Amino acid sequence: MDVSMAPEGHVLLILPPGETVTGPMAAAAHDEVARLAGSEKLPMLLVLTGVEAVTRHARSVFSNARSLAAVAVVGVTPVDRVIANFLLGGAVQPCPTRYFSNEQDALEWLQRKNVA
Amino acid sequence: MLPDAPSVPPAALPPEDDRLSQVVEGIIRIASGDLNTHIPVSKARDQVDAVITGINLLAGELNEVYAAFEERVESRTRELREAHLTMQKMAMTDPLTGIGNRSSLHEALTAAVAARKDGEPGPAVLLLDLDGFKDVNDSLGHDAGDLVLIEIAARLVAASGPGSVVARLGGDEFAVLLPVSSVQQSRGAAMKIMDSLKRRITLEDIDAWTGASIGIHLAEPNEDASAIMLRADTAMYAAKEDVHRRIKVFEPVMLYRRQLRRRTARELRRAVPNGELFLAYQPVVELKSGRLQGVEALVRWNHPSRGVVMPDDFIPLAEETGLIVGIGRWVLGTALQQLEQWRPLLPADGKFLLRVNLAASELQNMDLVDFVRGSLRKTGSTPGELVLEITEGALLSGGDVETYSLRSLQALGVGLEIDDFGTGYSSISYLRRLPVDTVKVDRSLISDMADDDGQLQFVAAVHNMIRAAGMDAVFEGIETAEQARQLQDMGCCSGQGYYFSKPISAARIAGLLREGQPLPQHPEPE
Repeated sequence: MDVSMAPEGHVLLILPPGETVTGPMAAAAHDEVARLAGSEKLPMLLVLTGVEAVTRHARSVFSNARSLAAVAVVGVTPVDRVIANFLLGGAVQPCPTRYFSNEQDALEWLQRKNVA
Repeated sequence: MLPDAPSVPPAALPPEDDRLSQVVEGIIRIASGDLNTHIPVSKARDQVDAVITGINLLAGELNEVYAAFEERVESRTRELREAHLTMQKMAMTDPLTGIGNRSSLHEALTAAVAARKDGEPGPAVLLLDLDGFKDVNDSLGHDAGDLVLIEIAARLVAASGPGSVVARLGGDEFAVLLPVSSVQQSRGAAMKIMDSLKRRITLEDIDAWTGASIGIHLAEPNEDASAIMLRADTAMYAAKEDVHRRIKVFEPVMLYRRQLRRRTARELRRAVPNGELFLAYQPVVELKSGRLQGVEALVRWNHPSRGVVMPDDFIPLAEETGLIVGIGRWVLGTALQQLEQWRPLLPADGKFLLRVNLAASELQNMDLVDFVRGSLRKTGSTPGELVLEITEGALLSGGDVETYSLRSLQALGVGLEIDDFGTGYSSISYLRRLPVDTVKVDRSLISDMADDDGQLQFVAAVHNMIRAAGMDAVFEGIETAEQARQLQDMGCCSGQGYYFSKPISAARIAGLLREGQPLPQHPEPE
């Protein structure tokens, strides 16, 4: 999994295309995000284009994330949308979330959330 | 939450694209219960793939839910089973001692009866009742009492041996079942148990002793568990009553005796209302002069079919059943009325005492003092003319209520007398602290006096002790002139006994009063 800080000030997380995102993978990514964020809460751009599946365990890791101010999820195909819905459909939302089918709209939304 | 993405209307799929039929297959598999099914997603990741992905996710979700549900059901079932076992065990166990309870004994006994082989010995039940356990609780407290019970249970288990079933039936009653036993084996077991109970019980720094009564019954082939228990219980009951034989094997006559006892209790309940009780009076005389100093009222029962029943044969039963309170009140009321009827014949100096026996349970009754006061008032007798006799045993075992009653009676002016003195285990110093005025010495102390010089000296010492405690002594059971003379030489003042007169009717007492002759008189026809 690819976790990095974008120049705009948000965390960029790219899920591995063609793979199933498991709980341990999600936990590792989460730890990295937490390290980058420190005591702050950061906005995150999560790209899941082409991901095969996301497990329930990974979903619960996502639900319990502490370092996120807002999350914009980006996908392309209808399959991406179904999977994104599953990920964001957990019992608990850690922060404001939204799905976008293009990165530009996602970034704009994130900026607005960041300012707020 | 998720905005509608611009969607492509679903076009008909090209014929090489069999994904729709794969979806149908997948749905059919899911419908048949295979929730592990996974429909493959193509590289296109289009809407059809989205549907497929969704179906896969749903199947996975259902699978998870079912698995979680089944696990919960399994865990609940496990808990229920464990709870059931625990409850079963609890239902069969005495919580204090950990040994079995009545239910477990009944079960084991029923099994032993069923397992009995023809011609072979069957089960034997030993029922045990601890002596004086109430005293242990009263003097050492219930916590100590519980510890004693736990210790006794352990001793019973050890003494009864392997194969036996030991149970606590409740209170201080225990049972031992020997599944297969002969008479000798049962008796042997009972003796082993008695021996193990004879050893003192040491609790921290307190010592306790307790004995027991044991009833044994060897099951007859046609008896069921309840019948066996009843007979063992009857035998135990008989053992309790026998001071000498604490281990008894059941005999049919015991059942009869018990039934008779119950019947007698029923009849005794009707005795006062039916006017079946009557009083006889035994003179108490001044040893020196033979002068009539008073009488002791003694109750008898004119039983409708059994004839005259003496107090030894019904007073203990009355005390056990609580009927003694009603009987005691009848006696006191009747005796006082009789005193008033004698009034014209009584000596002017007012030194005529009416003695009435009071039972321990009457002392425990808070209304006693009011009743005595009321009775005196009703007949117009003076309190000083009445002496209430209370046995040494009753005074020894009394508590606060009894002491209150005694002091109140004393304050009333009624005389109090210890009866049967010398039969209890009183210490010398306690005698001075008792709220009594006179001591009636039990007949057993003087019975050998004439032949036994040591006994004579002993009686003299007892008399001196009583006098030194500031009380008067009355000797009962004087049967010979010799005894009377010896007592008189000692300085005793009053006596009672067959030598002077048997208990007689009120009319004959009136005769004595009228004649004013000293006792004993020459023997008369009855």
